Amino acid sequence: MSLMAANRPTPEIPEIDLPWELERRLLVFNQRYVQCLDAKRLEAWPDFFTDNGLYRIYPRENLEAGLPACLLYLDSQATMRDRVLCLNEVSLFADNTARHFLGPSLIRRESEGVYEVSTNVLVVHSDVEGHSRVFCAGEYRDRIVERGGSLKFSEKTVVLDTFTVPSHLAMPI
Amino acid sequence: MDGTQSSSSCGIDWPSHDDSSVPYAVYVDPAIFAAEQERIFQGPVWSYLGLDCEVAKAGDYISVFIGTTPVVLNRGRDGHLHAFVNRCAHRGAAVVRERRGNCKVHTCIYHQWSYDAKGNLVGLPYRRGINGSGGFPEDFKLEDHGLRRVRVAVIQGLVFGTLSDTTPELEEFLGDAVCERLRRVFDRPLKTLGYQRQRIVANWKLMIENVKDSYHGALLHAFNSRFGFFRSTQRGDVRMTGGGMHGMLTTYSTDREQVSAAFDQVATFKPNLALEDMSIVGFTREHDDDIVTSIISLFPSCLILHGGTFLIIRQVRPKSVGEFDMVWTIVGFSGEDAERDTLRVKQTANLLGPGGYVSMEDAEAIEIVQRALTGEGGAGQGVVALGGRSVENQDHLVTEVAIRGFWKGYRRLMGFAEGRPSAGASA
Repeated sequence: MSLMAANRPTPEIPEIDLPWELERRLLVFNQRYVQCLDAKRLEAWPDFFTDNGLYRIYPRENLEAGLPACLLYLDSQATMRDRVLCLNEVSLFADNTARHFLGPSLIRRESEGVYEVSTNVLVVHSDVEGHSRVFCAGEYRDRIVERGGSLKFSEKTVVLDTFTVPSHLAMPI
Repeated sequence: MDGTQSSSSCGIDWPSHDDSSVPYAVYVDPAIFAAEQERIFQGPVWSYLGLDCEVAKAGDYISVFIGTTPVVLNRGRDGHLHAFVNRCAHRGAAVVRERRGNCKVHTCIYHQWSYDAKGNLVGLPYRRGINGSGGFPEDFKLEDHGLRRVRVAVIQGLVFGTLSDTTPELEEFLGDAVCERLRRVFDRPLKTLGYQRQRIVANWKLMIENVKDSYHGALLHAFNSRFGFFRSTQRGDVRMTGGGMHGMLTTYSTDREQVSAAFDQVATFKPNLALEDMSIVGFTREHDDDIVTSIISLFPSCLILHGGTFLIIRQVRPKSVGEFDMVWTIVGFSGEDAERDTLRVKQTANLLGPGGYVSMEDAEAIEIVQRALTGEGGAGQGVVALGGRSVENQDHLVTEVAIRGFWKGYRRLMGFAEGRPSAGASA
């Protein structure tokens, strides 16, 4: 869960060394992840992570300056469930509909069953009156692990190019 | 500007003879916004620029703002801090285009006029022309074309700047009680752990009021009441300096009493929730006194939050009458280890900041104020009468007195006279 994983430069496009079936599973995993968020199925969101998985929203400004401050920093499934509880039961925020758009993924096999995946992401918010705007542009820097036949994020860092958040940040990206 | 203009110059009509009501026009009138830049931000106030440690080495610089005026804070080769308005003396271009960095001289890209850390013009191309042609006139002197200087002063590692020659010394401006608190909170060498930023579609003063508003703390932010982070019943007080301009909301430790009956009627109260990971609210005491949280607002636009493991400086940067940026600097102490840094980052990110449990609602709340006010061009007025109508220190937090203090100082600088007693008010 070091900062180092996120601080690595975006990897060059690697040689194609993964079986297509595996690459496809990794891509679909991220697609399922953003579909879960777009559908506001928040309760299912922590299940995409390992028990001690790390989810961060990391301003590019801090990344480039080598500073650790994040916009969200959830370092276990438990803290993610707390976030879900608060969003569902406690917090008040603008009722936007989110659409995540993913770009192509670059995948690197770190070791057997451990993959580093980086993916461009764009999120469009639409408000209660039907106005849409770009909420953020950024990049997922993920470490995905194979656990008992299923994939989980052991780390998902959202490097946020839009590090001046429009209004406020409620839902995960 | 000396703050003595008649109120009619902005067309404002202050509705009451005290500061317990606020005309909505101050949030939506572009003429008032323009006057604020002149009378407040370019007037006799000190604006927070940054931390001493952000420009630690000779040549280090950061780009900041005083109001809407772009300013560069940097450290010269003389080791001293200097600041200047970031606007080239030639054609008005921004000389510094980066957020931060290090350089020997600042060179404008447009025509390569170069300035030192103090803003002195030190070089420009073709001054004597080329092969006898062109060049600047004989009487053109470099020293006549420097960048506009910004006076700089430092307290406890916090750097402030002012554009006015008439601003009193920084510590006099802040007042004794505020200086004393700053010396307590920032009592060791600092380091910055990074930044959070948000763009809020509302007038900048709504944010300042929000931080001085202990009324909403446990009502809007239901997290507070549920998890006992802040309660209106908590022991606390409001202290002000500068005639009310600067305010401090302080809470003190009490036994973890049961949430009182005061909350029973609050619609947002949810009695059966618990967090699995309490580390985001697990505070370790850093000082040997009974202060739990300090919320310090320095007129006009610097907001400091300190409590347990979080220490934050928020700078409010007005952009237009209906829009501002808020830049959060996450502060740690020099020499602390990565584990401590990580705890600060975790608490700051999840509790405070644009996505924090006790602050995400603020942006939404003040944006819905702005949205509702804009339609009728600022007709009407708001009420700020919790805890009375006057401006004096109070020994509880069931009060909007710090907001009234802000308006008192604001009116003085803006030259807005107080209104006449209304017919219904006692003489």
